[in-house]
Amino acid sequence: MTRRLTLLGLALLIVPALVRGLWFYQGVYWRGSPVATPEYASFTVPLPPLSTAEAPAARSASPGAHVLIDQSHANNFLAAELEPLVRAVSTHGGQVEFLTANDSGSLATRLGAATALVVAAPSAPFMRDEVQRVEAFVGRGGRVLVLTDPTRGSPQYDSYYSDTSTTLDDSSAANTLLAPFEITVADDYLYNLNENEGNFRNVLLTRFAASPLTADLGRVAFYAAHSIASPSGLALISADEHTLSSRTDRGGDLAAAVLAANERVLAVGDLSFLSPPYDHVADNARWISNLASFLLGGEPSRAPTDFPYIFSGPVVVQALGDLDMSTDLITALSSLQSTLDESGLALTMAQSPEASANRIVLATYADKEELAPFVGGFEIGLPGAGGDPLVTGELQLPGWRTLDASAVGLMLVARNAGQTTLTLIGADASAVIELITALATRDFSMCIGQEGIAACATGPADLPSLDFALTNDAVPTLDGALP
Amino acid sequence: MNMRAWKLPALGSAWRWVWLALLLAAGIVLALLIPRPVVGTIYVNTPIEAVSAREVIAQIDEARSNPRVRAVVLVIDSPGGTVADTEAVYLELARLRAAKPVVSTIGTMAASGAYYLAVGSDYIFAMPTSQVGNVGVIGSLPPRPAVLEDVASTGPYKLFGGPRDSFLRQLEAVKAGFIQAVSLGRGARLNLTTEEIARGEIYLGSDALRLGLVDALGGLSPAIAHAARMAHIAHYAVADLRELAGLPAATLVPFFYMAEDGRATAYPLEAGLFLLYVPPAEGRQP
Repeated sequence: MTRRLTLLGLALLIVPALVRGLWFYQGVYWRGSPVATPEYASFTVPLPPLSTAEAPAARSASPGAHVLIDQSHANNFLAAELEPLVRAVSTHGGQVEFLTANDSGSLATRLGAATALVVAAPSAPFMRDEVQRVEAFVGRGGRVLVLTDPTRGSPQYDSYYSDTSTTLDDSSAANTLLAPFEITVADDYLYNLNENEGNFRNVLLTRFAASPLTADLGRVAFYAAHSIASPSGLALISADEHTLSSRTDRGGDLAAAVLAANERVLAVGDLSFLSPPYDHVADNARWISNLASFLLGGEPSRAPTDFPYIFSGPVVVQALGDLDMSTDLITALSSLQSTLDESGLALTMAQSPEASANRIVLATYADKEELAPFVGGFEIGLPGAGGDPLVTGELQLPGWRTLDASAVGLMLVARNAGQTTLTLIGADASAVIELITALATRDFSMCIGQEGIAACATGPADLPSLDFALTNDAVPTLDGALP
Repeated sequence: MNMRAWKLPALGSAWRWVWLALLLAAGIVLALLIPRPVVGTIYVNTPIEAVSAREVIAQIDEARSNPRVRAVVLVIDSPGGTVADTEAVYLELARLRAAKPVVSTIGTMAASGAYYLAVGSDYIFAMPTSQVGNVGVIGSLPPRPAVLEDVASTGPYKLFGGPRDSFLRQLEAVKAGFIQAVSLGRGARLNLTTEEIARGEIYLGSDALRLGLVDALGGLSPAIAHAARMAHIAHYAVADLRELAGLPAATLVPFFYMAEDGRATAYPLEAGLFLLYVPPAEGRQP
């Protein structure tokens, strides 16, 4: 009995707690495995693959190599950012010039002095005449390098506040220049989440087309790059299939650099690789050196209408034959001197200038024998073999119909080993003076040009008489495009 | 002592019933000493910065040390915050989870650092239209090193913290930690590759469920119920851990940049590394 009571008492003591306990707690929380957290100490900052190899020297510049860097299209870069490229060009004899919006002379005119043009991160469109000039420049053998960069392409929609200006993203602005060369820069950026150079937008590129521009390249790093397409061009540097375009999130066949227009126009989707410290990552230094070689390789022929930029140094005037130094001629030459002076070029007179001097040669058709060394390379048929050109004069230009020499003067530009000769030939002294005046005023409205040659109406005739002088129906432009 | 010696003779045989009643009363008192379990709630509904992180950590400490609190529900509605503060809360959550289950429920948004905290819990609920994910790091690059006329320093990066390029690379190291936290937290439930996570996308809750970023659709009530189930408790109470920890009302600290026109932006007030979602609709960066 006592034992039963004891058990009952214990039950009464325990059961309430047991009931309450089970009412609330129906088991024990037990974690099978410890809570895992990231191994923070194992995460290190990725370092760039610095190149230890010495970049090869860029090729030596051809005489007169002149690289024009455009800063007149609201370009989003600092001159210092191009320093590695500028240094590579300069140390090998190339001359580098920046063209800002405040400089005298437009891009179109300054191209006359250039052998290569660099356009980086523009945000203002290229006008139609500028594009035509660049097209003609490329047609004559000039080199063009267009650098774009997604990090520089933030459009500012100023039109919200003002209806005066609207800047473009850099790809759109560059495309206004690149369209004639069938190159299109996409409004995107390339990225790779697996293998990259410190950040998903910094892509490592290993696929290169065979070209001097890609010589000895194993891997280059671009720091945010647009993809570039060109149906007729060469995909110079392409991304692997794991590198995607931000526009489609897809990869494959994405080029970051394209070469087109007979390998004279190069478009690159990145600009940042030029700047320290990125210029020494992977094979970027070698790539920059190859770019410099590309720029130094341009040797465009000159058109007379590029005056005064066809000259890059002092100019000597040489009169042939019996050309009288009349007051009118001296006045015209004085005007010409002023024009050259504005471009920083000195003009002097000499009867027998040095062979290496830049020169402007003045002559009439009558000075045929003395003219021979200056017109030999142009396949020109000068009028009146020994006769009076005003009577018998028939002027034959390559690809042109016969012209009346009494009413047409010629401007001929020849380049040889960095020396430029501009030969002005007229029917008489007054025609030569008209040609000089056209140069001095840079008014070529009475001239028709083609590569190295401009035919200008002088004397009694005028331009309409030249309208039907061509052997085809094409109307030539004044910038040296072939008729 | 002999039982018979102290029985109450006056009560006769009734002493047995008195004794049993006393034992029952003692048993009831003893039972009442067993506390009613509590599911504690912690609200993360501000950007995660120094002050809010300190308050959340205080609540986590309370949850860990208070025996009544048997489970915790993290109620998240935040775009994220600073890296260090987020990691601090995450690591404290890991310590709490070693002893008690933690369940997260996502309201409007658990982006970036807020999702970092969510993956630090055992189970995640989200609403069908919650914004979930945005795994990644952002930060404004420091200014280019320069020599200032009026401020002297002892090294080229004393004023700027480091080269801009180094800052960019630091983002990758932070990202790696974030992605591993997601992988560890979600484990086999995750239906995204590391590369897909690193894209930084923000998903709707329903999508996030399909992709394994969350475990179920639902709000606070199912989250509390699930936490209770995990802790094997029933007939529990729900308590705000802010009150249990004796914290005052939430302290609002200026975190976002305020434009000159008084408009609040989605950009942090100060430069630094952030696990933060900045809505694109905000437009221009100040």
